Amino acid sequence: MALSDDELRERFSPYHDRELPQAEHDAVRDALEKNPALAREYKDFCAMLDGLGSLGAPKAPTPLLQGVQTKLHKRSGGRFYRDRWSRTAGLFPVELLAALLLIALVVAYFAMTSIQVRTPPPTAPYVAPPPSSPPATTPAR
Amino acid sequence: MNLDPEAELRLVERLKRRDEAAFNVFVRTYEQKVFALVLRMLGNRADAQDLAQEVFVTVFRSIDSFRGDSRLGTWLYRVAVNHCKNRMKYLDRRATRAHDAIEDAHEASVADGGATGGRPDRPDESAEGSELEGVIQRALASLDEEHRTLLILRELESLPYEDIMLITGLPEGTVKSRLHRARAALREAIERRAGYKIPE
Repeated sequence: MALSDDELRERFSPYHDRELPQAEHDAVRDALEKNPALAREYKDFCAMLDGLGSLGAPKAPTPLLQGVQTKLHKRSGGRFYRDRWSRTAGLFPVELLAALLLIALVVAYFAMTSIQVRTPPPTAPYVAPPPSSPPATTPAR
Repeated sequence: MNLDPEAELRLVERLKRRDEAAFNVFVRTYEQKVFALVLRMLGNRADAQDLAQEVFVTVFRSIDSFRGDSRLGTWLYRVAVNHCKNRMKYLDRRATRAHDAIEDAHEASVADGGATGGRPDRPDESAEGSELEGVIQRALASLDEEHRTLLILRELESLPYEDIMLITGLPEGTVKSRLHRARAALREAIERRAGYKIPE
């Protein structure tokens, strides 16, 4: 199976992915072994794909969530994301957090009502000390 | 990028109930992936940020149409790619109008006898092309929308052909043949840009 250089170039990509029929795959492999210039082109082609695959993923400059919430709030006429609490990201729904808070309040209430407050023993009434006369001062001459 | 199937099922159920907390989790899970895809498609950060938000707004509104034929992440990619195609068409139309306006101004200038002629040289453009990554990114951005989409989905996002078929709506043979053409086009674009030769 004789292939021209252009026909070989057209087959670089399916050859790389091993998608050619076996006979064609072997023909490309043999042609690349015999043709150093074309083999270099194929190496360049593979390097390009490697370079493409190793491009870093660009990061969003700021989280998108707040903008999405604002858009949904406006476009739904205020139906969604009504309040500040619902705009925070979390694993638990607000209803669950509210229920947990309510349970905590009930527990705190029962704990407070079940504690007996001890009154301190009575002490002697407070007696104010007698007023003392101020020390005599001598007028300055 | 995919959640495990059970977690995904529960998430979709909550999304269909328009559970805002679940939607917050969904956005946080996928926002970087969607932003990266959209930025690579559009090549402009401000446009990408706005469009990525629009993708999530669309998901919130149309999650009822998700029937579970594919993974949620694949469906999200499909929504994102469709948004990108629409935005690129809009930007192309706008660029064409701007180009027409420039052409009109140029012709008027020629008529006035004040044409400078030719495009000003950009020495910084050839200097920028010194690194392979930059060259590849610019060459990728210069490809047509279909080639760029296929290369991004296959080479950058490493998606299997099944997912690419679902996202693009193309049969497998077509995806493969167009991907091969896209790679050849990218190679030509890289070599065309400042005669850059890929290092071994």
